[in-house]
Amino acid sequence: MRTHCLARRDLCRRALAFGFLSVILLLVSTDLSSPAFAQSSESSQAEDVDPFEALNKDFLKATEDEPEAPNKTDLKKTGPKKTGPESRPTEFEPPESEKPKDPEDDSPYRLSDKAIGLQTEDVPTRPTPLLEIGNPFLGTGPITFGFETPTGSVWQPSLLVYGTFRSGFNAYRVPRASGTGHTDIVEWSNRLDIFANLQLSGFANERLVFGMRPLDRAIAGGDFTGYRFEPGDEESVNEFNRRVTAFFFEGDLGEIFPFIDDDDRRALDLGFSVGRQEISFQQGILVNDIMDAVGLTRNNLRIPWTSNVRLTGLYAWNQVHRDGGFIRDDSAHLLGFFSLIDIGPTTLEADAIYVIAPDDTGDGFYGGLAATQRFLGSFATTLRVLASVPTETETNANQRGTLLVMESSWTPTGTEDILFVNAYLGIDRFRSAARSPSTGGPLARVGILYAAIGLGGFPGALDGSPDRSGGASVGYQHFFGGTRTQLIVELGGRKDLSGGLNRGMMAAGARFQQALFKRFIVRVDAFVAKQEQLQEVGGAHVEFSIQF
Amino acid sequence: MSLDANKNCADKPAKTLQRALHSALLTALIVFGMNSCYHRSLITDPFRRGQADLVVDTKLSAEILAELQRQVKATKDPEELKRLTNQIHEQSIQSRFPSAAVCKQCHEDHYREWSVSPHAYAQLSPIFNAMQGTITKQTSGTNGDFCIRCHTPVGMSLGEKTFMSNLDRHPVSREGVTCIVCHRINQKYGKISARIAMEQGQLQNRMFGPTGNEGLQQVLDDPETYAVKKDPKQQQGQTIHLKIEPFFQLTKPGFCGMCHDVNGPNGFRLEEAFSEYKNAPAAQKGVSCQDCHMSKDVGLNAGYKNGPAAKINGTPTRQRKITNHMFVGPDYSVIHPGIFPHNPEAVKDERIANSEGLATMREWLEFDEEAGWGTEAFERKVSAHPERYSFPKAWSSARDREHARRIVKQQKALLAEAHAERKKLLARGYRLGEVKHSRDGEDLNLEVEVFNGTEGHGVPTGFTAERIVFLRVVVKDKDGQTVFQSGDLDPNGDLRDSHSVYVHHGARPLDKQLFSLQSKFIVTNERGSEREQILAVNYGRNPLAFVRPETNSSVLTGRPRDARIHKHNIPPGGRRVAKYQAALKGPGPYTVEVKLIAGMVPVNLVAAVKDVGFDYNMSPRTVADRVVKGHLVLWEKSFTVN
Repeated sequence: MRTHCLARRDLCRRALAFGFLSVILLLVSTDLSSPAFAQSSESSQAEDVDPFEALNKDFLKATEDEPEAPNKTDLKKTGPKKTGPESRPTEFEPPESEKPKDPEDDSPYRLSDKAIGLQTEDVPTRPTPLLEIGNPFLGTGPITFGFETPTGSVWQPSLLVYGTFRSGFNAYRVPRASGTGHTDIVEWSNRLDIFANLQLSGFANERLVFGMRPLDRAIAGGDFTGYRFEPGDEESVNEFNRRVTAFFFEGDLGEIFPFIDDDDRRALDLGFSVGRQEISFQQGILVNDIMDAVGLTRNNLRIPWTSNVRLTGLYAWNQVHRDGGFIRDDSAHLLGFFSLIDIGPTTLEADAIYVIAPDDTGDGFYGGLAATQRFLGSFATTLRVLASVPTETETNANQRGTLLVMESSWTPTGTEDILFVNAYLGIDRFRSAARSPSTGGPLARVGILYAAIGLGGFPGALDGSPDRSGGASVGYQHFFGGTRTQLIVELGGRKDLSGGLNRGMMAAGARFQQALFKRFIVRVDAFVAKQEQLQEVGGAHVEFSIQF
Repeated sequence: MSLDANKNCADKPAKTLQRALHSALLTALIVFGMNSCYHRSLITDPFRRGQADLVVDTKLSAEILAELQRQVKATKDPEELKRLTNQIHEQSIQSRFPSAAVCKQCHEDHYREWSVSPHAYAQLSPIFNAMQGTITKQTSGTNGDFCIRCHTPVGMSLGEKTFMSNLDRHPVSREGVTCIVCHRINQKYGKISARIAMEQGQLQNRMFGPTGNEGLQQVLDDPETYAVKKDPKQQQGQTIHLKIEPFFQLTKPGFCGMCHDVNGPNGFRLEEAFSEYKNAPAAQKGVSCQDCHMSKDVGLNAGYKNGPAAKINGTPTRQRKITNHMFVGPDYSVIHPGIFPHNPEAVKDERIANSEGLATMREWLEFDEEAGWGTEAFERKVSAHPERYSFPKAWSSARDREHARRIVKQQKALLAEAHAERKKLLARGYRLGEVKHSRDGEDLNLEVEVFNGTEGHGVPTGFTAERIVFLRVVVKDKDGQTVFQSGDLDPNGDLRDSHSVYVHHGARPLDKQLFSLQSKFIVTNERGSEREQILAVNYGRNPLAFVRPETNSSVLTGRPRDARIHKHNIPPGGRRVAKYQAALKGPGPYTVEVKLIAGMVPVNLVAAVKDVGFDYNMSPRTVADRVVKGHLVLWEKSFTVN
């Protein structure tokens, strides 16, 4: 039985490895079909193409035959070898000593007067998506005429399949629920977020979005398809599922029914969205859930002294998760009103939600106010006040509480880096109006130490519950010579203010990310944490992800 | 699956897993296969890509192709072969996308206005080219043709590369938003961020205009007077389009909204000119975009000119409403006056042997107009001491240089005309109101009011995150020494805001009292609030920033998750008050100068995109200097305080 079991496990491992490899191969093969590679393969199809395409190819070939400098575009192709003073006749070239000296010439911050020509080799071609039907997604070539709908709008349907595949190893130690000792966990987890976007007209107007996470059940605690090495016997974890995480239609009423306002004289540009969709406001603290909802929005409202005002109304009737995702309250209804106002250097967000629910979870009012402002060039702060107020009996899902969150950042002089200092104070027991089980606690914005990584069971180093507690984090994000390599180091802590166990906790962590080629990212996370009266815990996470 | 279920190492999960993986692999292969097949079908099936009109052109092209093949067989000279190939290619593209230069033959005035317009400059701009190249680089190529589709719809329809030199683009592609981009559209696409399908076809094919065929029919009914071809196969006469379909949408704001309301594929509201208009008083009053921007007095709803829409072989067509096609706006040219404004007399297409035009674009870039080439004084010196001078081959002849000088003079006159119109437009959009001042001990307090002079949209509008309109306030003492200034420029020509390279590195102090109407690109930090960036690519949250549709509703949030624009513009009917506190030194009098200045883009944008290089072999400093040279003082006030 044991041998049989091992054989099965081995088979399972191989299957998973094979599957993983096949996904990589698929992505690499689509990379190879990207324009840079396609050029030669398309040329070989010249006999099949229409005369214009053939002529295009000949033309391109003719221009490509011109000699090119290695790796860089020949200046001859982008302009004369010399322009400006260099090309002037000698008579008009003043001697070097007589040239007016720019006092800033030696400054490293003065823009160069040296032309470098177009660096065409540095600009990548479009990576071909996994699947696109209709007009290529942001691809060149003629665009289809589309068709006119009975309402008079013109639709040019095109489908794009895209998403992210993440695969990672986690090794971490968590304290036992009994409060004594700890458990070591080693696991391999996979997550696939796959979406289909049927664009009907333009961008961000009319579109239908369908999404799934077929490799995990998107529930708290981390049930992801993969393999568990520890604790106990090794075992595969199969969490394949068909749960739909997004299926919504969004658009602009004025665009869908153009005949109502043929002269464009009325402000009927009302945006709307209906269906199963992720709703997130106040950076996911007030509400962050996947619900069946309908929303209506208006932008560019004119209010004195403001530059932009956006108002959004929302009604959700299904899949409302209460109590941090522990209760899926299908009979709960959620009404929301959200606003964003640009006024001077500040952006204000004022949001209000009312949840109507059965007695076992209870009705509640939820509100959030936020002000984001930047000052002295490189400083920025966001201050948030959020509150949950039961309007009936308090339940676990519906409790009274206030949460204050402060986020601040500074870009040090001469760098692109970010130094951040964040803090929170939880008064009583704040609850989000609705929260998807996979999103963790509402404190994720306070620091990377407060947030789960969303792959496997790898936890946040610090407890993500804001109940009667306060905490802070300070971190530094460094970019290594560009935008594709970055490191975040962070130190954080929290203190229970309830007067109960009086347990404080400190943690330190880091995250390193490196982009590879056009689609791949390697990421490493690690943390150590120490809670008062308990042993140290810690963990490490290595992840490879593919964007397509 | 529960842990208990796995304890027995049951067969079922493993089998399920295996099957699922096999299914996934199979599906992936099918999907990949379908994808490849589909891409092939796009190439072979013109009807699927909006090329129905190619039927006619293909036939014409086939005849030309046959002729070419005959000539190709007859020649053994590789150079001649290349020339013939290019000629055929040129012919084929012209028969799909007629050049504005062809329209010029009858619509001289419209062409003249358009040739110096921002529409005509859209693709030629080296700053735009570098900016979209940089964004494409930072997004691993996923930005695709998002930016450039608006700037050269023809070039993108031809499948040209997104990042390449304009010198290597097809001449019609270089024309940017050329005639056919508007007059070969026949559908009300709405706000589609310029993802428009143009009808393709030779010049004789139908065009679209606001009033339809009536005027044209008059011409076609009298072909002798106008000396036009009624039949494409006719040998004699001027080739013209044989039909104009009425497309009244051309006169509606929604037509402008196809391009002037730009949403990113991820829901980023990049430009909102049309959205702002729909919520503005002008819309409610029925004043359209065209009423102010194509009127006889730019920036005002002043009615339209009347005149002939065309002059065919010198004979004008009947009188009708004439719209201004100069479309002046905040942009201006920073490139050689030989290559912009568009001018068929100036630029020769190097691929066509008998192309008209004095010199190719490459040759024009070698013409040193600043040194005085072709002027009488200069040429006199050259003839006196020819041994001291050497010229590029194209400009070795004094006659060519003098010809070029005449062209440059015309070009500059047209640029100056556009410049004056631009100033008129912007001065109507931005108004300087009351300037209040008071003394508080050694401090001088100033309050300067700026208000929106239009009812049509906010100011600035459109690409608000890269438009600079600012106040320059200078206080000088009785000796003329500056005791306070705000809105001055750093050595690169940048405002001293946080994006100035000098300020960013601490080499110049931040202008803490700066009043600027530039909106800002904002990205959400991985942790710790938000920050302003010159380009809205959020590499802080994802080292591999990818442009993909948002997975939640960006309509409801008005933005993607991690980036937005913080608008600073003044809405219609709105006003702002800039407050300054200047520390004075001793008794007065002090002179206060207040200027409201408009620029095209901030110089920090030039610095941010310079690494991919500027077209026409321009240096970052040259580009920046010319940007600053185009700054316009819209309004100014000065007064003395004691």
